[in-house]
Amino acid sequence: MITRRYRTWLLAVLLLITAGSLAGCLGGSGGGRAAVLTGASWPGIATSDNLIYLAFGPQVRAINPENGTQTWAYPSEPESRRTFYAEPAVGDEAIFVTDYEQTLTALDPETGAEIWSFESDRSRFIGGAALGDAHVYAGTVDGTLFALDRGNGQEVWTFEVDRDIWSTPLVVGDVVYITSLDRHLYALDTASGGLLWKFPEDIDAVDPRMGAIVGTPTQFDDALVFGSFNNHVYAVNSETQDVLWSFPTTNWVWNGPVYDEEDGLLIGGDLDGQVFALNAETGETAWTFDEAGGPVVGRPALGETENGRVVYVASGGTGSQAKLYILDPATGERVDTPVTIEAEFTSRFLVFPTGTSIRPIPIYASPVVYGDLLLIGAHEGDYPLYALDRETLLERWHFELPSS
Amino acid sequence: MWNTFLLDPMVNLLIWFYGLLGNNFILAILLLTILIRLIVFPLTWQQQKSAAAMQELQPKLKKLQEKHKNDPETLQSKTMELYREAGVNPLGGCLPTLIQFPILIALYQAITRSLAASPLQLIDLSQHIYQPLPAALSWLPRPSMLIPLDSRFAWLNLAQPDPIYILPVLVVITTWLQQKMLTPPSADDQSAAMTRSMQVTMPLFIGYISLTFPSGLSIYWIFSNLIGFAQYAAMGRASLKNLFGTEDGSFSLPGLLGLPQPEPEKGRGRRTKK
Repeated sequence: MITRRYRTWLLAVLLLITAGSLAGCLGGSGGGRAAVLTGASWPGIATSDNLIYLAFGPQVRAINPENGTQTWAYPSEPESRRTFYAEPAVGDEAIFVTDYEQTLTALDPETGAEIWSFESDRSRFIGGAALGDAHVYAGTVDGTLFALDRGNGQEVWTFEVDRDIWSTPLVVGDVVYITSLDRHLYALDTASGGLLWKFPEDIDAVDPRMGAIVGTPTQFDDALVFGSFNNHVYAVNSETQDVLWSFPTTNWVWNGPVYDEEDGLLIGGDLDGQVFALNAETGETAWTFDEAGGPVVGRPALGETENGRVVYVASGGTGSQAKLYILDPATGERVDTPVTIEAEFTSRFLVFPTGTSIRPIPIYASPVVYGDLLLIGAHEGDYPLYALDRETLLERWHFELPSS
Repeated sequence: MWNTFLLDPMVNLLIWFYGLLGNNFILAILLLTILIRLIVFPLTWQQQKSAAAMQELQPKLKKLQEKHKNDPETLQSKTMELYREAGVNPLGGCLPTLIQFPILIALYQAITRSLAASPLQLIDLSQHIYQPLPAALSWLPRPSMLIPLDSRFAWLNLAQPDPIYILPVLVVITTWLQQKMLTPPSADDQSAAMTRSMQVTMPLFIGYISLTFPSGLSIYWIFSNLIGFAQYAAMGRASLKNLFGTEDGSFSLPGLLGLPQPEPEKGRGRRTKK
């Protein structure tokens, strides 16, 4: 009978271990758990003349760029049901923030006071808001694009697509562009919400293997460029909807590339870590950089240093692959030592700490150039925002979440 | 190693099944559960054989316990001798269970990863998908055309917990029923009490997990329990006697609930005679 009791309890212990593993708290496979930060996405960063806005976790914060201190937070106390990840849209009269739950809120840019709040009765927002002259636009996970009055948050029109909208819309003149996980790019009239066109009109005619589109397209001249989960970057003529060119990648492409007007190049990356620069007119490869290793999720950022122009490319991945690379936008060659941001992680077995290790944190957020700062958002580690000196790449400050 | 040999194959199978079965994630879970059950069937068979052999030894073990109840050391050595003579390994049922656990954990992880519903989850999923596929497998559905998987089914979002708690209740009921049908009555009171306790706490524990985990996992548990019923019944191991706690397998509510059985008829007769 000892054996039977032993077996029963052995099964009970195994079940507990299983539950622990399912909850993702076994330290073995994940290599540890972040010291502080957790969430469903990475920080959204936006800037105005005098403030940096950070959307991450339960609050949106305004941060003083001089020293990294918090000016205000919205909501003033974290609310368990509200989380913010998308980059705020900054207007003169307000900043507009989308909530991972169901609200789009206009806030006073200087004080964080709520001006108005719109609650979608349908679904959550993952992408951010985009501003038109009179309207603010944002899409939800159930595939609804909302156009709201910028002044009072009243719903002006809606447009529905077949699947989730995860991207921030792009407004160019009288047209608002949205991408969807239903594998289409849509062009809508900003005033009425009427469909001007969608691409592809017939998926089979373009590429039957077309994948979901999660990122905001990049616009230059008459072209829109976006990446897809079918391992391709497409350039589409916004007048004729013809495919100007397409470029095969090795994995999914999350964000649209950055347009380097000076060299006429589009610079982006895929989730295998391959960085590419394409001739914007022809789609021909100007250069590739394959040392990134981890996923390139954020849109690269162009900047200037005293030694010339650079492009900052953030790489995710685990361990030593997580780096910020500084490349020459014309050639793709490294112009500086890659930057690594490290944090201490605690490895656990079930809930029991088994040790700590220091390792680089993956960077998924798009780097942001702001004056003489380079802003880096982090979704793991100890701090959600780092400000580096753009010339020296040394840390000026980091933003520490106030303890609540 | 975990990802290469267990998690990644399961994630890709789940996505291919989803594509082959008309973009239905429920059917994909069902098919993968059946496949896994078939793969681990030799282990299940071994486990049940071992359990049956142990069951056959119960009367002899009981006699030994009575005979050596005041001498635990002798009881231990005689018990081991009995196992040796019968060619039974008392831990023979545990090893197959141990081997099955990593597979079950990987299956759970595959379901949660495939139902990626947030940006971080989707990026994580991209690191588990086979691409590009070799030409020989070009007939398989392309994950790029399917992802993100449609997680909506009836009132459920399979990536979220069941908002009206129907699935957690079904998980508790099917887990409890399966345990009850498979567990033979114990030979001694202490073991019986422990078994009864486990039969209640385990389903409740799993039910609690399914309250907070994606409902796709609850679907897996329910399918797995139902397939388990069928499998054990085919092996002759699922028993109404165990379920109702009666000698002939007839319905008994107290037996079903694990309560003491009513007094037999002759007892009442004696009281009448008095």
